[in-house]
Amino acid sequence: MKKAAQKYGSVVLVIIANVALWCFSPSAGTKSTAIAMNVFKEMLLILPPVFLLLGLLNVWVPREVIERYMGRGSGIKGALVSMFLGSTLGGPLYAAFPVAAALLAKGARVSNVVTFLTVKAAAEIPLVAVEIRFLGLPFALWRLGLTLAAAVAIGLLVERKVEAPHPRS
Amino acid sequence: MYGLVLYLISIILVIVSWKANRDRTREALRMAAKTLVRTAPFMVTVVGLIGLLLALIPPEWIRTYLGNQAGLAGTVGAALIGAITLIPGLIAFPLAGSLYQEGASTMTIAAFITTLTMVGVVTAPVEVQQLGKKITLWRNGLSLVFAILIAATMEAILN
Repeated sequence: MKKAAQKYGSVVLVIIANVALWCFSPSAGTKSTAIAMNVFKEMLLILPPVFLLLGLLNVWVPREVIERYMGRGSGIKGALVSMFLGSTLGGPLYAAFPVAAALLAKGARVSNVVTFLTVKAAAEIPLVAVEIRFLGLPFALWRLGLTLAAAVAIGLLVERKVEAPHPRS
Repeated sequence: MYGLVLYLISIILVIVSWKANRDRTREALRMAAKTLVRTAPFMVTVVGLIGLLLALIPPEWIRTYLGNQAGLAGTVGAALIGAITLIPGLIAFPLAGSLYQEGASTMTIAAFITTLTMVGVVTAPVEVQQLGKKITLWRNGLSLVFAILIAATMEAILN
């Protein structure tokens, strides 16, 4: 019962909030539902293949491969691989979380997984092109460079915070 | 388009995998179905949150707010708005570009864009479910701090 509440509680809350919005302002409610339906359609198009690919990754890619490229001891190479994956993977951010979880389960370091997510969120190559167009080359390049550096720093800091109480030998 | 390519690639790979080893492929399919079902409620929550947020905080509102604020308070405000809202990049960049041209500071625009992309309050339900509360809280918290550092550095360099 408690588990079901944890699992479905947030969905129910969001639906209630949408219904409440409908009652307050039918136009805002309509807009919210329309946007949600669009995102939902996009999700249906993207999530099933993502999970299929992760399933295949899980059975075909040996743990050692992920460990070698993104695990402890992968060093600078690991950070670079994470940045490359993050900036080129494409697709919406919510689809990157299961990818991050799969990498973590296969032996990637926390720092590299967080770097991957941060780069995915803030420094995707297609979006950088849009940024250059609207904010100019200096702005976009400086933000990109600083963001990549910050992504590595955030990764290392998160790893320290997360693993501090249970040091892994 | 992205979705269709993804479907195509994954279907081809499933077929290749099936030819190579049926048992492993069955295991992969079972795992894919299981994780999809387990993640679904959290994904639907995020869908609902995106709808609510975009309906309640339209981009035009952000324009009036960001355009009028200046100084550090404006930057922190911009960072917080960016953290909470979720605007697709294709809408956010033109908006930020026109605000920049209208005189908003480099620091404010940089803070807004950086937190907009890096900090995800709306996607947090999925992030917590997949990676745990600890990683989610620290990653987003530190991203907010670094966004302000990035913004301040850019203000110093570009102006």
